[in-house]
This record gives sequence, structure tokens and C-alpha cells, in this order.
Amino acid sequence: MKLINKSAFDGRPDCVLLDLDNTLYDYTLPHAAGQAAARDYAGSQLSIDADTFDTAFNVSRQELKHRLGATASSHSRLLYYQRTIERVGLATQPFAALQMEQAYWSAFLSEAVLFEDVLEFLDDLRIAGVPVVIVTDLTAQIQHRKLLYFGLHRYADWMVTSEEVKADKPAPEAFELALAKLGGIEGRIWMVGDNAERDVLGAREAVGALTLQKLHNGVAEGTGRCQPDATFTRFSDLRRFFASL
Amino acid sequence: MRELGRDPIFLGGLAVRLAQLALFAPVIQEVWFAPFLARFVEAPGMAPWSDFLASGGDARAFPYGFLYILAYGPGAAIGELLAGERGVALSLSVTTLVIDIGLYLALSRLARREERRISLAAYWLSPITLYVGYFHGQLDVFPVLLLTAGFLFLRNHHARWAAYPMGLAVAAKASMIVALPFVVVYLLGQARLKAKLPAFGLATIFVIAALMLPSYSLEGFRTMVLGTPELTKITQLAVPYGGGLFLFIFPAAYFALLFTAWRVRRMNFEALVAFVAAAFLLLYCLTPASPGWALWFTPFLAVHLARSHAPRAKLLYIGFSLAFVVLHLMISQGAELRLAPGLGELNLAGLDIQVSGAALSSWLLSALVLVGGVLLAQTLRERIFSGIFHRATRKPIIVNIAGDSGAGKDTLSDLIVDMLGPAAATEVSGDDYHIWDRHKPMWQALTHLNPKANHLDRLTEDVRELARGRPVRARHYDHSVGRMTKPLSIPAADTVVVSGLHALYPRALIELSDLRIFLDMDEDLRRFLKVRRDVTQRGHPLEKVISSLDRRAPDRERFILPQRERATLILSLEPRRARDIADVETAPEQLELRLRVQSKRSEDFARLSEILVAVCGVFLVEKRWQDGGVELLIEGHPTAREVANAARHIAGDFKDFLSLSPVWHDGANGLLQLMILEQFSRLVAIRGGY
Repeated sequence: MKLINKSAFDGRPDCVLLDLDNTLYDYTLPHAAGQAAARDYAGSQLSIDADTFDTAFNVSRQELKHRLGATASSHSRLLYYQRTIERVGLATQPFAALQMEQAYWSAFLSEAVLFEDVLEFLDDLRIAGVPVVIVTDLTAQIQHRKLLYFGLHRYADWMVTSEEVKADKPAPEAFELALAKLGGIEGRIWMVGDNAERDVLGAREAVGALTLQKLHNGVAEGTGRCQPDATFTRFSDLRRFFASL
Repeated sequence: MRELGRDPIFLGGLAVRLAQLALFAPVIQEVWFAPFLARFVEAPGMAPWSDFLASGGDARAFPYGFLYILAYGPGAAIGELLAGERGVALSLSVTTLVIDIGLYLALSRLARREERRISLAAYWLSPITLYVGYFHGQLDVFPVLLLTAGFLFLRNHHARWAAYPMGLAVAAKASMIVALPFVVVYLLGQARLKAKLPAFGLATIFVIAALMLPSYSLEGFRTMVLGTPELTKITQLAVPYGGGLFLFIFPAAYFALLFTAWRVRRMNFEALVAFVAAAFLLLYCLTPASPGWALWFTPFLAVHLARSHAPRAKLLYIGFSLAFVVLHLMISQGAELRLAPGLGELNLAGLDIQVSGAALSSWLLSALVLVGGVLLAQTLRERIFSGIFHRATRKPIIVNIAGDSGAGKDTLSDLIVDMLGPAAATEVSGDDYHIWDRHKPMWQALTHLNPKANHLDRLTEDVRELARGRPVRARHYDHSVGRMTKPLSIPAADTVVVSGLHALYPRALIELSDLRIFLDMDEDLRRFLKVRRDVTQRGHPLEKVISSLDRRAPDRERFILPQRERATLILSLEPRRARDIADVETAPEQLELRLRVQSKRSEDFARLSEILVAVCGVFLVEKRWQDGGVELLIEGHPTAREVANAARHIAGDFKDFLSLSPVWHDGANGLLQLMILEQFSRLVAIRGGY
């Protein structure tokens, strides 16, 4: 646990905003498994070889992100696969697109494992009476499934997905809606997330949150305006820090 | 590796090891191992033991084979280059440290995630490992790493791959063979692993033979390695038996332990690790063991300690470890200060005073053996005899599936076998106990649904025998010709699935069962499926099937439906749209079905429901009745992959019973599998005592 802005942590938070993907679990492996499952489906059912699939997928993803901007639907696997199939020249194939989306999330969930001590940390917050809101990009349907899958719904009181608001983080609406759902919170707000821009900068500018960045392989610590108030690599460290306050 | 850099247990243990390495030069390394390796490095050859003896070396210097030379030789060569024989001696500790880190990593994978930290601390910070490796200077960490690597493969069911490191471990140090019979019993006891035993056995023997036999021809090897006095230690603790005979204590106790494992038969992986820890602990306690032998049980005992709920187990271990170090500081060779060898050997030999006519070390040894014995008993009691797996598998699980003809009993039975594997489950069909062949005249008077038309006593007796773990012989009803075959053997198995029209009819049969299921298919759907099956698969005329259904209706009311009340779980498949089954030509696989599950046990299906919704994407409604019953209505068509993923979350302690390659189904069949799996998981938890 590294406290960069030590003096700001002068007591326990009045609420905690939590990012979900790549903060509470490592996104890399499940994503790779999901993508491999979709690629396999494309190969076996549509005779699209792996290289063609990857190329078409990357272009489709860029195209959708460009067209939709930072919105929830810009993360939609269904749209990515629909467009990938279209780009390969097979026009719109609803059955295959749905199947590939299904294959992706099925493989994704089967590989996804919460980081150690995540549930214990959430339980500490519950016992301390600190409300928790999951603030996450992506579409609501899959985020609800993830909450149930991980059992997070037993600990987190609320969730805000970017589908509920105009735009993805770091736009302020998701953070503001999170606090509004709690009935308005005045006091210390913590934002725990992995992304320096979306989570750290976003929450600080939107609601003045103290920001704690979760670091692990592939996550770069924020610098400059995106520098967090603290960083940690293990939730056990965060638990100890929380208990010490 | 980056994780290691942030791991306080690892860093703490590493700091102590590095300090020891800088401070202490173990005497046995200086006197025995280093001269041998120095000689080998100077004049490498294919017969290093003979060369060493020819150069006037001591026959006790290096009782190890080629693998040890392979492991410690490169370090020794670098040490020799840098600082001559003292460099070789230092290289031994450095190589030991490198191997030790490998063992730390292997152990971190062997222990379950939630138990990892305690396991690692119990090994890495143990006074035993610190003393043996870096003060006394034994090299036993090497074969223990190989053995642990074998266990890692075994835990992932790669028996053949496990054989290679395990064979290497034995080839490196013959004593590692103590663990192998337990591995054989483990593989034999689990139906799903049994088939892997020959591959494991052959590969192990091959590795040991390939590495040992070529060396055997070398006289120096026979003298120094096979002739080591260490081998005679296993018979040194002996009781005079009279007539000049002796009872050897360790071999007797070891075979008693092995026999216990054999009687336990179905042990899970944790029990295997506990048995191996116990066997090595026994070896240490019942022989005048070298200190290095304590390293053989330490990692395996550490895994047990992390799982143990008894604080006294950890206290015993701490007490044992400290007494061990004090004892060996008194009686075993110690170390010199690396930078001031002139000060002489550091040890506590001076403390070994006479107390009540015997040396203090003997009193300490007695206490050590006593504590070791208690630790061993505690390990076996907690991990084996109180273990959920053992308690849950003392007798086979009996599943009774009742329901009307065409309700899907055989399908459900097959779905269960697909989960458990054919070696672990056996099927008993009520159809095989019809009294008469199809063409016999008595069927004009009675329907199959009438209990009098079936040998229900024989069925009950056969299930009782299977519940005792014994195979039975029964005739099989061949639907294609309507005749009973000659009696066939039904093998005993861990799970017995009894399906039939009367599986929940005779009270004695119900009392044998652990899981009572009634298949209560929607009547219109049942008639639809039965007509399709009897006409298309069994070749009966359509009119006959319809009239048979009508003729059976009164017996169905009288004998079949009342069995619902005796079931603990009622599963009903029904069409989502009634119109789908109006046309008999509709293919069954095109039907959209939903599953209605009724449980009378007031069970909490919350987690199951969440997993089904989150993983399988189904629509699910739960209703609770005043009498405590629960009903789930489940609609959806999960893929087989989703069912497999959900199963991982639902299986709980039942995961050890599942086939190594379970066949999961999609749609309603997959949902049925998950419901049964959930019931199995509850059953095992109840049998296990919580």
C-alpha cells in the first residue's frame, strides 16, 4: 500500500465507489478465453480463419468505438461480432452473432476469479456500515450477471453502469448518479479502480473522491493529473489500511 | 516472480536463509560433499564414485546418484572456479537455496488458495527447514522438490506426468519410495483415476530403472550409494522377539499405515497428502533418522496444518520443530562460522548432560517421538477419518428415480452417469425385474405398473448388495425383443442409480436410498414422448401404444403417482407451449421445455438460482409453500459449456466424485444434471457432518 496523499486519509470513508472490471478481478485471462471461444466458433461454424477473424474484429471494434464514442454500447460484444461477421462478407447473421456473444461470455465467466480478499474487504465495509456502489462501464445485462456470478450483490448496495448514463467514465454522470442513488453523500468518498484516467481522474473531478488505484500486471500507475491518492496491489493491504483508520 | 518480491513470508524466510548462508559453513558439506564434488569438477568422468574412492576419498562422502551431481554439479563448478574447495562448499548452500525457492513455488501451487499462506509459512519459516538446509547442511530438499512436483501433476489428474518427477525423486533418493505405495492406493481407490494406474506404474518404473540400472554396474556407486549405512537405519529400532529374532518397528508400523490407507480405499487428494506426511513422519520418529529426513515430511505436513481447524496441531508442530532443532544441535554435526572457521564447530553438544542416568538428548528424543506420534494421530484423525470425503464415501450413494413409463427415468439415469463417469456409477433398471417376458399371457391380467408384475424383493436385495459394495447378477430386459436375457453382472460402484416404475415403492428399497427423485413429467408431454419412443425406437404399433396408455391409467393413479409423496425431489419437464406437442411428428429435440423442481426439504436454492441466472442465463421463479416445500420453475436453454461452468460452482465437496471428463448436456438435460449435482453436493455435505 503506497500512500501518495497521506494527509488526505484522515478517517474512514462515508462511501466507497468501486470499479468492477480489472479492479475486482483480472480481466486479461477471461477476456482472452472469451475471445478464443468466439474465434473458435467463427472458425468451426462460419469457416472464418483465425487471422481473418482477428483482423476483422479489430477493425470492427475500432469502427464501433469511433462511431459510438465513450458509451456503454461501444463495449457491446454483440455489436463487435455482428460487425465482424459483416466485415468478413457474410452480412448480418443474428444466430451466429448471438452465439459468439454467448460463447464469449460463457468462456469469460468460467475463467474469471475475484482477486484474493475482495469479498473480505467488502465485508469489512459492510460491518463498518460504509455503503458501496459499483460504478462500471459496459452494458447492464452482463454487469448484472457478473455481480451475481461473483456473489458481489451480497455486499454492494448499488450499481451504476454506463448504460444508465450518457457516457462512460471519466464523464461525471456515473459518479454523480452513484452518489444520488445513495441519497447524496457528504463527506469522504473513496474511489477504488484500476484505470488512472477513468477511475482516478474521473472520480476526483466529478465528486472529489479520494482515489485508490489497484495495481497489478499491465496496469500503469497514474501520473500528473491522473495520479491517485494511494495505490495498492493486494486487497489484504487495503483491508489493513482500512482497519487502521 | 514479481509476486515473490512482495511476499512478506518469502522475503522473511529468504532473509534468514541468506544470513545463515553468509554466517554458517555446514560441517558435513565441508567434510563430505564438497571434496567429492570438487574432485568431480576437477576430473569429470562417467564413474565419479570409483574415481573418488581411487583418489583416497571417504566412502561415506556422497551417498547420492547422478541426479544429485546434475543438480549440484554446475554450482560446484562455478564455486571451484571462484574459490576452490571452499567455493564448492558455499555453492552447495547456494544451490540448496535455489532448489528451496523452487519448492516454495511448488508448495504455493499445491496448497489451496485460502490455505496458501499458512502452508508456506509452516514450511518456509519452519526451524526444521532452516536448520536442515542452512546449518546442518543436508541436501534433501532436492528429491522433496521432485516429489512435490509429482504431487502437483497428480492433483491435476495427470498421473502419467506425475510419474516422471516421482520416479526422478526415487532415483535421486531411494527413500522417496516411501510415498509411492500411497499414490498407488490413491489411484486404485478412485474409480475415475483407476484407469491411469498402469500408465503411472510403468512410467515410474521406467524412470527409476533407466536412471538406476546404468549406475548399478559401477562398483563405486554400489559402494558409496547403495552401500550407505543410512539404509540400515530402518531396521535399527527393533524389539527382541525371542529365539534370536527381532520385530522391526518401522517396517511394521509403515505397513500398518499402508493397510489403513488401503482400508480407507477412496481417499481424496488431501487425504493422500496427509498419508504421505504421516508416512515420512513415521519414518523419522521410528528410526535413528538423520536430521535431513525431517525435511521429507515438512512440506506435506505444512499443507495439512494449513487445512487443520485444530490450533493444537499448529502448536504441536511448533513444539516439535523447536525440540527437533535443540536435539540435533546436541547430537548432530553443526556448522562453522564461514568467516572464522578456526573457532570450531558450533553446536550444543555441551548441553547433553546426564539426567536421571540417561543423556538429556535421549529424553529430548523421547519427547520428540511422543509429540511426533500425537501429530501423526492428529493428522490422520482430522484429514482421513473425520474428513468429509471419507465419511461421505464409506458407503455408495444410492439414487432412486421413480416415475411412469416414458417420464425420462433412463435419460436421467444416463445423465447422472455422464457426470460421474461409467467407472464410478452403476445403473439398475426396474425393467429388468419384470416377472414375465412381453409375450406372456399374464400381461393381459396385469400391467407393468402393478407391483405384483415385478420382482421388487429381488430388486431391493440387489440394491442392498450394491449398497454394501458388492456386485450382483441380474437379468436384463431387452426392449427390442421383449425378453429377459441371461443374468448379467452389475458391478459395484460409488454411486448406484436405481430407476424404475417402482423405485420408490417398497419401503425397504426407499430406506436404502440417499436421494429420492420422482420424475413427474407433464402428462401430455409424457404421452407424446412415449408414443414417439415406443413407435419409432421400439417398433410397437401406434394403436397398441395408445390403448396401452389408456389401459394403464388406473394403475398409474394407484401405484405410480403415490410415489411422489415419498420423493424428496420432484422433477417435472413440461412444454413451454402446449401446441408444440399436439403434432406427434414434432421432433422431441425441437420442443422447448421448462423444468419444474419441487423439493420438500425447505432447501435454500438462492446460490443455485444465482448461478443458473448468471452463468446459464435462464429465467427462474421460486415459490415457497406453507408446508415448507420449495418450487423452482426454470426456463432457458443453456449451452453445455455454461452447464459445465455452473457445475464448477455447484459441485462443492462433490467435485471429487465427478468424472475427470464429465459429459455435460445442453438445454433441459443440462439443467437436470445441475439439479442432481446440487442434491449430491448437499448429500455429501450432510454425510460429511456439516
